[in-house]
Amino acid sequence: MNKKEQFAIIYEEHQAKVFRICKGYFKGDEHTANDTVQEVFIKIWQHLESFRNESRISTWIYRITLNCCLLHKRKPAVKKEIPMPELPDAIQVDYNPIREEQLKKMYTCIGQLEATDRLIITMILEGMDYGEIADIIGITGDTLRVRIHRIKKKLTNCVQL
Amino acid sequence: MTSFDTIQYLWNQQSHAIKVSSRLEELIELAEKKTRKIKIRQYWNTAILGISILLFVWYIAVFTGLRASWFHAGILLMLLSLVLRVVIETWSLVTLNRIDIRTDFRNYTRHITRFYKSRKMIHYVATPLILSAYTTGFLLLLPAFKKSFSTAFFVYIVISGGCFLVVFTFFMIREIKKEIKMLTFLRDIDI
Repeated sequence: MNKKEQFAIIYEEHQAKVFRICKGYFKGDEHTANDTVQEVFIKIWQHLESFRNESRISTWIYRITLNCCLLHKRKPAVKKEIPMPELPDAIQVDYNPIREEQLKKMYTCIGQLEATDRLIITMILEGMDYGEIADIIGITGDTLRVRIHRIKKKLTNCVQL
Repeated sequence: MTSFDTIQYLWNQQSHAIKVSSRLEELIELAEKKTRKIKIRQYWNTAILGISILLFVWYIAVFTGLRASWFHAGILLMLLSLVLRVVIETWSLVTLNRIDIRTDFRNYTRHITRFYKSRKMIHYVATPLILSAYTTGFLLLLPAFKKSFSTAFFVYIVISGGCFLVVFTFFMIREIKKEIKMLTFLRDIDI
């Protein structure tokens, strides 16, 4: 498999998840999330040859994702270099104002969390296992479990209000 | 259903509606373009640095010799401050690019924080020194300019030189503020 094919598979499998993690980190801001997704995949392309199967490819990708999110702050006015394609009609048909409102509230609550907590909870919501999250963040499983418990409590309290 | 289950349900609902804006081919093209751009920038930095050093050496060899004058000192100060600035910026760029983006979040945050701390030192110590050296150099050249050029051209040099310093200082302060803000943000990160 050549680099391009490998990259295409990675992009297909992980782009949506990377986008949602970025969106959670940037408090629901889709524009910034999209910019960061671009940055993430550019980094993945640049470093793909150095991936040595020492960890899971997903761990490797989400480490780059989190690090790109962290550093995105240093570029306040990122140019949009790839134009946005038209959104498919399905999204417009699927539009549900009540759900949109609930989603907005959810992102506001996620946005109130501290930066690392935002990243952890988005990975939890994405269904990633604790071991992998601990590996991505660089903390022990026990520390992560305690932290997740605290974050869930904060988040549910906020959503209930 | 607990509240967290509700959040999870909401989160899953949005999964179907998300479309990322980048197309694969364009993304690869952009990645290649950016890689080329980084390489070109590194070549330019090396070229500017090399030319500055060559100019510096050439100037010492040809013009100053052992004769010292305020004019020579002025030119030397200006050249030296420019060389120093280019060296510092190149070093910073290389250091930033060497930080491994594939490492875990905790480690990456630690390295990035260290990088911004070094930038703070540069901004608070090296930058004022460089700026003062450059300004002093420029001021030392003025008497010689006054003697050699017409009044109108002399006034033009003073005004344009002054404007350059003001604009440069303005951009410098903006950059410093941005980087200090980033450092504060990084320090607040709790891992």
